[in-house]
Amino acid sequence: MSNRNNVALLLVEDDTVDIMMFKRAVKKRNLNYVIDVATDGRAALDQLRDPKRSQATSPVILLDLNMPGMNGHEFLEELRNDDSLRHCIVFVLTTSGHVRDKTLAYNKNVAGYFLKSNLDGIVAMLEQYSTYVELPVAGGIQPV
Amino acid sequence: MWPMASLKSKIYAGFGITSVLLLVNGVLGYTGIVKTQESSKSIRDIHKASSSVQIIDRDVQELRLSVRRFIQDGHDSQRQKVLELISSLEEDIEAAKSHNLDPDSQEAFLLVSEHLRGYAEQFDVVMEERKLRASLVQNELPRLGQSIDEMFQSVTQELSDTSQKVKFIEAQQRFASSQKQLLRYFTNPDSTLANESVTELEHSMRLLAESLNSQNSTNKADIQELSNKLQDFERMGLRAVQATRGYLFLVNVLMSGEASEVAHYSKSLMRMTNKRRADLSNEVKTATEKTKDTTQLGIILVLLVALVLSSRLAYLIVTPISRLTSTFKLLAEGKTRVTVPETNRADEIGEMAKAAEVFRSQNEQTQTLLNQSRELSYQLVKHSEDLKAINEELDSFAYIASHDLRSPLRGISQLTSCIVEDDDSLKEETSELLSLIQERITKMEDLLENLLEYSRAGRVEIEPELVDVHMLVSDTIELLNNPNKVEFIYSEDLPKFVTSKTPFEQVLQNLITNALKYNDNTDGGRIEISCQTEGNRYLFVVNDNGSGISPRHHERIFKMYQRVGNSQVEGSGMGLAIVKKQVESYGGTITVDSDEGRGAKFSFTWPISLQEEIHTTELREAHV
Repeated sequence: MSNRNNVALLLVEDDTVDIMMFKRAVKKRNLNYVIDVATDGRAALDQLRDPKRSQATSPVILLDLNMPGMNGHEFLEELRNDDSLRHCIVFVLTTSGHVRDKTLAYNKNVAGYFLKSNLDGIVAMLEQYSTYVELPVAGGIQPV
Repeated sequence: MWPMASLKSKIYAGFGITSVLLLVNGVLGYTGIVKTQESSKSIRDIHKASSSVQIIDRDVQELRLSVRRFIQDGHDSQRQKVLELISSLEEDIEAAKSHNLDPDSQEAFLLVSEHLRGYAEQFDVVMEERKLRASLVQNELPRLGQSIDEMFQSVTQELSDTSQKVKFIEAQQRFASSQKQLLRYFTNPDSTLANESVTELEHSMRLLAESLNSQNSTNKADIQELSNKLQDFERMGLRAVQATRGYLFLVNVLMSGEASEVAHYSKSLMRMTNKRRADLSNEVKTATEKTKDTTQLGIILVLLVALVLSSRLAYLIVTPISRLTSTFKLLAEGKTRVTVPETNRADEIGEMAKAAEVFRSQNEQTQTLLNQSRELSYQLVKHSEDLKAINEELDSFAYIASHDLRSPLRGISQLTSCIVEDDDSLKEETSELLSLIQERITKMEDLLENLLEYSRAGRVEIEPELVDVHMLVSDTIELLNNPNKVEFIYSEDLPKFVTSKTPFEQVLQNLITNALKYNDNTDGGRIEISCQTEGNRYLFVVNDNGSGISPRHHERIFKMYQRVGNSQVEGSGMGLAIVKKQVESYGGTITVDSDEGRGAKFSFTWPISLQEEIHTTELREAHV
C-alpha cells in the first residue's frame, strides 16, 4: 500500500500560467503530489522513457492538447503504440470542447477529458481518484 | 434536262407530261369504246332490220297459204284472216322500212309495197269472184237446178208422146249430168269437166228445142220456160265457171307473180342486210383491233415516259436529298468537319445545301463558343475553388485566431486573480486597478467569443431537429431580464418544423433579445413575434415599439462590431452580423423596417424544408 498523497503526476502543458495555476490549485488542497512538467509531447515521452526514472509506477499524465511541437493527440498516438508505456493513465486537460478532440482522445482510451475552466473541480476529483485507485505497474505487463 | 429550271417546275412538268399522256390514253380508249358501242348498236339495228325482213318473208308465205285455203274453202273467217295478214304485212313492211334506211333497201321496200298492193287489189277481185261463185254455186244454181228438175218432172208428166217423154227424160238426164259435171268442176276445177257440163247442157237444150217444134201450145209455153231456165242455168253455170277461172287465174298467176316479186325483193333485202351486217362486223372488228393497239401503244408510251421522267427526277432529287439528309444528321450531332454537297446547284436542293452550309458554320461557331464557355467555366470553377479555399482559410483563421488569442487572455485573467487572492495587504487603489484590468479582460474575452461565434456561423452543418417555435419563443422570453414588463405577443400558430435547431435558435433569440434590450419604453412596451408562409420559406417577423433605428444606419447594423443607438445598452455589436450570416447561409434574407422613435421590425426568411438546403448546399459545394 502506497502513500496516496505521493502520487506522481506528469503535467504535459506549454503555457506557464496554466502550469502555475495548476500547482496553486494542488497547493490549495494541501496535496503532496510530485508534479513533473513537460512542455510538449516529445519532452514528455523522453521523460517517461528516461531510464534514470526508476519508479514503481508510471505517473498519472495530465495532458494538454494544444501544444507547439508534438501536440496532445500525437503524444497519445505514440504513447499507445509503445508497449512499455501504453498502460499509462491519461487525463486530458484542455480548453477545447470540440467534439473532434474528445473523440480522438477517447479513441486513445484517455481516462477522462476535462476543461481547464474548472481547475478546482479537477483537482478535487484527482484527490478522490488517487485515494482509491489501484495504479498500474510501471513498465507495463511484458507479453509472455 | 433543263438545267436552269427549279426542281419544282421540273416536277410539275413531269407530272404534267405524264398526266397529259394518261389523258390522251384515256381519251383514245374512251373514243374506241364509244365507237365500238356505236358499231354494236349498228349491228343490233341491222339484226333488227334483217329479222324484220325475215318477218316479211314469213308473212308472205303465210299469206299465200291463207289465200289458198280461202280459195279452197271460201270461208269468211279465212277471208278475214287473209285481209288481216295483208294489213299486218303492210305494217311489217313499214316497220322494216324504218329499220333499213339505206336507199337500196328503201327502194326494195317500195317495190315490195307496190307488189303487195297489187296483190291486195287482185285479192279484192278474187274475193268478189269467189263470193259470186259461192253464191251461184251454193244458192242460185241449186235452186235453179231444183226448179228445172221440178219443171222437167211436170212437163214430162204432161207429155203424151212416149218418144217425147223419152227425149225429155234424156234431156233431164243430160241436165242432171251437166249439173253433176258442174259440181265436180266446182270441187276440182278441171276445164274438161266444165266443157262436158256445157256439152251436156247444150245437148239437153237441143233435145228440148227439138221437142218444142212438135208440141202443142200448152206444153210449148212450159217447154219454152224450161228451155229458158236451162239457158239461165247455162249462163249461171258459165258465169260461175268464169268466176272460178277468173280468181284461179288471179291467184295462180297474177297473185302468185306478185307474191314472187315480193319474195324476190324480200330475199334481196335479206341479202343486203346480211351484207351490211357482215360489213359492219368487219368494221367493228378492225375498229376494236385498232383501239386495242392504240391503247396498248399509248400505255407503253406513258409507262416509258413516266419511267424516264421519274428516274430522272429521282436522280435529280432523291440522291441529293439522301446525301443532304446524312449531312444534316452529322450537323445535328454537332459535327463541323462536314463537306456540304450540292451547294452549286441553282434549284431548291441548292438552297437546302446552302442552308446546310449556314448550319455548318453555325455549328462551328457554336463549337467555338462551347469551347470558350468550357474554358471560362473551368476558370470559374478554379476561381471558386480558390475562393472556397480562401474562405476556409479565413474561417479557420478566425477560429484559430480567437482560440489562440483567448489563451493568453485567460492567463492574464488568472494571474490577476492570483494577485488579488495572494495579497491581502493590497491598497484600495491597487485593488481597483486590478479590478479594471479584470473588466477589460472579460470584455476582450466576450469580443473574442463573438468573433469565434461569427466564424462558426459560416459553417452550415445540417442537423435536422424538430423545432417548436412557440416553445422556443416562450423559453427565450422566460430567460430574459424584463424589468419594464414589456409585453410579448405571439400566436399559438407558430410553426413546428424540422430544421437546424442551433442556428435557427441563435437567430430568433438574438432578434428577440435585441428587441427587448433596445425597448426603452418604461410603460406599454410591446414586442410582437409572428410567422407567415411564403412559398417554401417561413417569414418570421420581430416587431417592437422601441426606440427604432434611423434608416441611414440600416446597413451598418448588420456589419461586424457595429453598434448604434443607446450606448448604455450592453452589447458586442456582433449579434446582427452573426444573424445575417446565419440567415444567408440557409439561403434566406433579413430586412429591417424602422425609423427613429417608430420602433423596429426585423423580418427574416428561413427554409421550411432542409431538403432544398441540403440540395443547394451540395450544389454549392459541388460548384464552388
